[in-house]
Parts: sequence; structure tokens; C-alpha cells
Amino acid sequence: MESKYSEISKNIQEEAKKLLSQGKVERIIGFGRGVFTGEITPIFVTEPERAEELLFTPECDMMLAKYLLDYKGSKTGIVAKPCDTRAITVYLAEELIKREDIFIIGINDCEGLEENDACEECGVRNPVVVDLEIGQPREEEIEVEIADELEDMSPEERFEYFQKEFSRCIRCYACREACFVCACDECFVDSNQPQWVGSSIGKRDNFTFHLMRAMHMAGRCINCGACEIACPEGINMRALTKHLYRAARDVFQFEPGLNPEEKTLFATYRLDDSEQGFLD
Amino acid sequence: MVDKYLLPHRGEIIKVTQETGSNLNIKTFRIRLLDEEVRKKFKFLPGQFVELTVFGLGEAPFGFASSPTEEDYFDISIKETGLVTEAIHNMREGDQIGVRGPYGNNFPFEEVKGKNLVFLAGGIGLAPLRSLINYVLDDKNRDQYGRVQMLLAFRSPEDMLYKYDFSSWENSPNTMVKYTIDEECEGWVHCVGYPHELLNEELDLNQPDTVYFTCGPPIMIRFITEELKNSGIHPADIITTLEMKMSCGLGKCGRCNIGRYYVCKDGPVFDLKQLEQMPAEF
Amino acid sequence: MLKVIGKNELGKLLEKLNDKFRIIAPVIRQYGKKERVEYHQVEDFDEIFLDRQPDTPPKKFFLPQNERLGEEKSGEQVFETGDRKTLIFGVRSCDLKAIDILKPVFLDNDFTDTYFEKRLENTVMFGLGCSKRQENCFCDSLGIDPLDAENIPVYMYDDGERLWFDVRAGELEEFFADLPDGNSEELERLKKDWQSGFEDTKIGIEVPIPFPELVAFNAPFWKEVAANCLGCGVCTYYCPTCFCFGFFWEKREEEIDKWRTWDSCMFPLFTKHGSGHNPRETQDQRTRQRIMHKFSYHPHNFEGVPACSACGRCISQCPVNIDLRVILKTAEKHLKDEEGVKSGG
Repeated sequence: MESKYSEISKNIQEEAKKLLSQGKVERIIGFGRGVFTGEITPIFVTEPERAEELLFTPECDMMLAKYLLDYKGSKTGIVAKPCDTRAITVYLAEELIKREDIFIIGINDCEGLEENDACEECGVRNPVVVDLEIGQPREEEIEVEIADELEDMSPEERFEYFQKEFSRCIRCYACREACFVCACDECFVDSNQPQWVGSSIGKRDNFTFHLMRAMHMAGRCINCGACEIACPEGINMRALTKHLYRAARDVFQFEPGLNPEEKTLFATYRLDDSEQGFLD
Repeated sequence: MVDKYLLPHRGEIIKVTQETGSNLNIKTFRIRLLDEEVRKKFKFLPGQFVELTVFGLGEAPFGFASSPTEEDYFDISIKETGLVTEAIHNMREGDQIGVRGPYGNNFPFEEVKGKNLVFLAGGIGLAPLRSLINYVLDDKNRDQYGRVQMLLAFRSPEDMLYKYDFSSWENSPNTMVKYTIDEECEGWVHCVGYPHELLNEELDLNQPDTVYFTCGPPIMIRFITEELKNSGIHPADIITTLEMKMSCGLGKCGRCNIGRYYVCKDGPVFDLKQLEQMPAEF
Repeated sequence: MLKVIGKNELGKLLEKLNDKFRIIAPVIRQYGKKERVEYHQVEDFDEIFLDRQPDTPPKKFFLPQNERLGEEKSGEQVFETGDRKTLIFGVRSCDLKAIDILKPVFLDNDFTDTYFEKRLENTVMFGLGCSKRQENCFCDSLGIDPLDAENIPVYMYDDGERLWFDVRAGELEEFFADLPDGNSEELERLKKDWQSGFEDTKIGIEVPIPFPELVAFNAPFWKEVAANCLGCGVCTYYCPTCFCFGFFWEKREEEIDKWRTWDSCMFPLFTKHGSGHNPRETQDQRTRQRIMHKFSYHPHNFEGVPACSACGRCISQCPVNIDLRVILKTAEKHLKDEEGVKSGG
């Protein structure tokens, strides 16, 4: 097992070194390891000599796609898990980044990450868009189901569950910042004219924040689990968004981040769309 | 009895003056604290500011625009820019408003006694300077200061503030007042142009022992201070006020600092020598 | 007086203290897969968990994240202190130091913060020595002793089997009087042992504190150290010394309550003016503010003491594992080079 990841890391380093020294990219966004922490941290490699700092292990659970938005207009390479490529696909579909600005080093045959429960609900094991593949693609299809603990709850039970879960929120916005979908120029939380949501950690404000955020996720969230991993308070962040993922899939046969040519759910309108509500 | 720094006292608006046309929409509010004890204890100095509270909506900082020699009340001039200022603009005589303060340091009106003074104001930047101007030109204080020169800049005649003060300023002993607007317009008999371009021709910058006070838009302050420095004025003799997002007024909440200085407590009044040694974050 | 008891006898002692104090102590809480050690009021003393540094600092007992200040129209202040004093049990040296760092900020002569002052007066803390280095901490590099603290009524040591109590406040002696005495030489030997564990793992940060303001502010490394920062507020909200705050208002029928709430220099809205102008527009500017406040501005204003007690929580809790130690090391290198240039070296 270990050798598989050191093999992947070695390949990434070699390819990164080539790309950087040939001037094909200006930088590569990837994973490295902290000097003191020994933990995985996103790094930005600009010199070929530093390519050996790049690595890949099952601990690499951060989503890197969002950093691409910091480097619009300059050729940037990115080490991408299949979920990262789905995020990139959503960005391409929403025209937030240009395909020619990025170079995707995609990792094939992803077996999921150690700490991320969302991986158990992910059937995408190979990159969706890719410029250079690392490892052999996994050919067989994977059957997964997305658990939805809300499904069998009555509205009252759901409400009680949310209240309890989100009462722990300290409004640090780690979920929002870790989420690639949360890339608005100005988040509704940061608007003071008008103020949509109060800054207290009271039940009402916390609930408003998470519900409003979730509503922006429908048809865009890929259930990558970044929000949940980022949450320092251990809140079941995906309780809301998973429900919406399933709704988008079951009602509109739409799963975001699989096809860059396809417009996102909220960007399309068809006369024969079902009128079923998301909150039913 | 501990002072309640974080909760406001109640004040009453006793006069509202529409200063400018609708272009900028600036109004001056005369506020009187309701409680007599509080009113007696409330002593402010030119350059300081208050936090005004619109009950239930929020608070915002504003510099004093009247001289402390007028004791029973104070004036605050407000441009309509956001939620709180809009709500205050909708207030009338008799309405109540929360008042926290006074906060911050003040113009060095004691230290500059005996010196000549130059006031350079742009738009609503005249508000904090008016507090000092009216203090200096007050009959009780006038003989303690030397010559006073003013260059007051406005976008247009319609945007002028405190027009009702001008004749008393012009008629003060040993005082010269000049006015300028951005662009030529009909009926205007004073200067035209940006204040930094007019400094040398309209004012006497060669007199010794002079202190310069300047308030206005950041860009104006930058040009004026550069021009003054080029004319050989020492940075310590150029004094201005900074505008940051002051909130608590106590030097604690953390949003108004520039380097080690909390603008709400160590400022808002700084001289150029101090500013030059501060991180460029304003 | 020095006392020592088996850890299983702690309940009896706390039972006695419980009459006089509301007891807050670290306990384990499980949230999904996440196991956290948090300070909570405890009734069941078996729950107390002292084996590692709590994930959250005790700051909230002095500066609650949301704190009602009073009613605005009447100007009536509200102080929510309970019937008993609060005892925070098992506070490590870093967190004790953090409260000391907050004191001159909130108890300054110009504007004493009555809310903080009352909470402080109403609280007693029992310190707890660290028998080994905690995850990502580096208190010894900032001159903090992981095995002692000043002005603490009781400082404890946990040797795995037993709890030692160094009782320094006369008024608390009654609670300890009938416990067995500890052998101070034995404790010294234990402490020496633990101390050497710290020495073996010390990083040593030789950055000048305070950072020279302009040189550090204008240094070129801020973009680099903040490149992967997401811009969330975790580092500041988990920091035992970060004290920036804001206000919000809540209507209750006719009354309007003014509340104070934590705020964070890492959020763009923190400094954004009504006009839309923002003096700290980008994330590297905001990261610079956080670090400069801690290691330059604060020590400039408060007798050289940095606003950091090196607890390491900002590192452990950061969603992308940004490491304050790396930032300090980067600053150290740059500021030393700069020093070298200045002295002609």
C-alpha cells in the first residue's frame, strides 16, 4: 500500500519538475508536508528544485481547486484527486476559470482518503478532466449510495436535529472557506447592507447561516466532504448538503462536476422541469 | 460608580441643519445629553469623536464639529453613506440618539498657543477642523494664537458646509479665509482648483512658527502634505486626522489599528512625522 | 503546602470544592468521528480528562463568544455571574499566561472593562503542569514554563498515577488539609524528568520580540506564508489570547440589548469601511495583521510581552495546517538578515 503512494508521489515529482523546468506552468499547486507538524499542507511550487516537496498520501484530504481562483490568467498546474477534478469541472462549467490556464495532474484509481467519510459515498475514482494521468485508471464502476439521515425524519425531527447540530457552530467559517463552491465575490454573510444574517452564535443566526449556505449548494456541491473535515467543532456539515445532492440527482438527474460542457443546475431552465421543491 | 463605556448615554437632537445640496447630502445635528449629571461630566476637546447609536440599528463614529466653548451641546456633521448615517439623517428635532464618548486624542490646541495656524480643509473634512477653528477664534481664546489662514475646498458652491460661520471667521482679527471649488462656475468669485495647487499662491507659507492642520479626502491630504513638505514645512508641524473603522472607541476591539496605534485611542489626530513612521495601512 | 492523592480520589476533593465553586474542567466529547477535549461545567467528576491539552482554551469564561452587555435605551448593564465562584480546573501554563496577557488590555486605567473584571474576580484557576510536550506547542520557546506559573492559588502535576497539588493560597488550604503530604524532593525529581523531555524537543525561536515594526511590516514573506491560508477564523477563535470583538443588537419587545461578540482580523468585513474601502483587502494583509499584532504591536504596547502563549492550537486546528512556528522561523531568518545588513555584516 505504502509503495503505491510513494510511487504516485515519485511520478508527481518527476512530472512537476519537467513541467516547471520546461516553463509549461508557472507554479504547481499540490500537497506537501509541514516541517514541524508532519501534517499535509497545500504548497505552491514554482522552482523545479522544489518539486520533490510534492507528495500524495491518503491524508491529502484538502480540496485544492479553490486556489486556482487566486491565479487566474497565469498557467497553473494542480495535483488533483478525482474530487478535485470535479470541483475544477464545476468551475469550468460556471466559467470561473479557463481551461487553457490550468494543467491538471490527475490521480487515477483513488481509493478514498483516511479521514473523509464522504469518500465512502463517492463512486468517481478517476479524474473527470485531466492533462496528465498518474497511475492506471480504475475501469470497473463503483456502486455507492449516499446516506441521508434526514430522509426518514419528520420535519420536526429534522428541525430538532439541525438545531442541536448547528448549535455548536462558532461561525469561524472554516466550512465556507474550505468549500470550493463558496467562491462568491461577496458572501451573503459578509454583506452589511443589507445584513442577511446576524453575527451571533445564537440558534437563529447559526441556523440561518447554514440553511442559506446550503441553498447555494444545490446542484453545485459534489459531496466532497471538505466542509466537514475543516469544521473544527465536528459538526455533521454534510447533513444538509447531502440531502440536496440527492435531491438534485433524483429530481433532475443532475450530478455536478461530471461534465464541463454541461451547465450547472441553477444555470439551466427547462419547461419540463419537475416542480418538486428541494425541501420536500 | 464605574463608567459605562460600552453602553450609550441618551441624547436629544435639538437642531438639524441641512448643510449641502442633495449631491453629497450632509446634515449637521446639534445634540444635547438628556441627563444633567452626564452633561456636566461630558467634556470633549477639538479632534475627539463620539460613537452615535441609532437604537436597535447600530452605532458609528463621528468627529465633533463644534467647539467645546459651546458647553451645553455639541454638533456632529454627517454625510449619508450607510445604514446608520441614513437612519440619523431621517431623525428630527426631539428624536433621541445614543452617545458614547468622547474618545480619542485631540488637536494640540494647548501646544500651538502663540503660533500661527493654517487650516486646510476639503469637504466634510472641515467638520473636525471647525471644532478647533471655533475654539481658536472664540473671543476668549483669540489673543492666544497668532495669525490664522484658511483654505477651504469644496466640490462646488452647492457642497459648502458651515456657510453661516464664514462671515464671523472672515471678520475675526488677523484672520484670512480663502475658498476654492473644483471647477469654474457661474457667479463664483473665489479660487478655482484643487487646494494643493493653490497653497503657494493663495497662502503665506513663509511665516515662521506655523502649524498646519489638514482634513479631507485621503487623496487630498496626500497631495497637500507632499506640497507642504516640498515647501520646506517640517512634518511635525503638519497635523491631520485619520479615518479608520473605529468601533469600540476604547483601543481594544482591534479594527482601527495602524501598526501599534489604535486610531480610536492613540489618534485620530497624528502629525505627519508620526504617520511617516507607521506601516502604510491607511 | 504540597499534597498528593491517587487520581481516583480526585472526585472526593472536587465534591468538597463543589459546594463553594462551580467547577469547570476538561472533559471528552465525541462528535461524529471527532473526539474533542473541551472545558465544561462538570457534575460527574469521573468525566474529567487531564491527559492532554484541551482543544479549546478557557478564554470563553472571561470573554464569552456572545456576551450581553446591557439594555441600550436605559443604559442598564447586565453582569451574568453565578451564585458561586467559578473554578477552572486543570489549566495549563500557556492558558494561564494567556489570561495574564488579556489582563492589561481589559483592565487598563483608561477604560476598565467591567465585564472582564467581574468575571476575573469571580474565577479561580488551578494550574496543571505538562509532563510532556503537547501537540504543536512551543511555550518554552517564548519563555513560558510548562511546569509552573505565577500568581496561581493551586498548581497541579499529574504523574500518571497521582495528582500533586502545590497549594499556594491560604484560603484554599482547608480543602486540602486532610490530604496526604507530598514529598517535595520526589516532585522535583519528576519535574526534572519532564523538563528534560521539553529540552529534547525544543525548537528555539530566536525572533526579536517585538518585531521591528516597519521592517517586519514591509518584509517580503507575507504573501508566501499566507499563500495557502483559506481566510477562515479558526486560528483566532481557538487562540487563547485573540480578543478582537464587535457588537450586535437584538430587539426584545421594546428593549434593545447590546451584545459583544468575538470577531476576527482574518475576516474581510472586520475592517471594511462603509464606503467599501478596506485597509486590509487581501488575505496576506490580514495574516500579516494577525502575526504583527501578536509579535510586534502588542509587545510594543505591553512591556514586550507577545500576544501569544504558544499553545499551538492555531496550528492544530487550522484546516490546512498552517504552522505559526514556520511563520516565526521565516520572520526570524528575514529579520536577522535585515539586522546583518544594517550592522554592515
